[in-house]
Amino acid sequence: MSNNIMMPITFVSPQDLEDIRVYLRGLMASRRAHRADSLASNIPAETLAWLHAQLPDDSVQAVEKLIQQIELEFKDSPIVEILVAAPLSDLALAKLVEWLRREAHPAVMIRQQIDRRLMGGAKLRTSRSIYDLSISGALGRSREQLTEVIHGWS
Amino acid sequence: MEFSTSTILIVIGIVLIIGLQLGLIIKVMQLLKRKPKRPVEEVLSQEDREKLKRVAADHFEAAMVRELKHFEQDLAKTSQSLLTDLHAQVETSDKAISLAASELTVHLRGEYEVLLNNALSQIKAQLAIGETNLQNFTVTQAQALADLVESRKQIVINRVDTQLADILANYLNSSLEQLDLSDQEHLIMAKLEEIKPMLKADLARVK
Repeated sequence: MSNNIMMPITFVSPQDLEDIRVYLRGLMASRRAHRADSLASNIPAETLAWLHAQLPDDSVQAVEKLIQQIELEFKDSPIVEILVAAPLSDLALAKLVEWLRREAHPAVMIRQQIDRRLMGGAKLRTSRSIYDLSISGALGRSREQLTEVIHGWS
Repeated sequence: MEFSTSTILIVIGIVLIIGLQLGLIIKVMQLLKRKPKRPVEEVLSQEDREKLKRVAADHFEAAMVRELKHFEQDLAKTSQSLLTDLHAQVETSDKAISLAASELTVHLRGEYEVLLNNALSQIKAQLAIGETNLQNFTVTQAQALADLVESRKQIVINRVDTQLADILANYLNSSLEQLDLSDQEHLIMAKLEEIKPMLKADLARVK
């Protein structure tokens, strides 16, 4: 996949990638059989539109080539696991993905998880590091100061 | 080695008897050697004197042999008797010693039991005193500690009453840096900007 084509903002997680694989394999089988099946899928419309835009024609070879390109492009995509206290809205998630692909890595994928103990903010986990941007982390970092103050009372 | 008084007396008796026997023999010898008042030549001829001398010598020898036999028999009897007495004395002494030892043991046991009981009583008394002191000390210390805790608690309560609200407000302000907790999106994006260089470097290394 060429670098000048931006991934759709709805193509976010490893599960999305798996859904695309399944969809394209179904599409390839349908085209081989010269059928025009309407394939059921969980893939968002924007991602579907993006996929079809990548196909130059209706041939089986085009679909096969696209599958190979996607496999090649995303096989080493970095995955950022983002833990939040409450699920992010679609808009917030889209902004977050957009920011990460613009500022950190163009093919980054997101896996969102919920951890209510964070209270607010988020915790980012890559394959190498953990970035604690949560409220609980901030409170925890100041906890020693509070303890010192309370101990100072006695 | 120790000897009882009776043993010593028996030995002294033996020595005295042997002394008396020897004295008797010496006296007989002296009598036989004493010179006659008249010259022997006037009474008896040389031949008779020689005959008498031989007869006397034979009699003396026989008497000596007889006496020595008696003496030997007496000595054996006496020795046997003394040995028997000595054994009897020894047995008696052993019994007496055993009895005395038993009595002494009983006596000493009684004495030491008394001493031991006295010592135990003293120790118990000291322990009771120590326990009482310890209890008093514990009660005193517990009371002092309770007083200290109570005073500190009052200090903390007073400070909580007057300062806790301010301290918590300051703590939350300094911890959260006046972030708007109701706006998760802006909060996360603001924090992401802070770690952007590190995150970018981190993800760049993945590929």
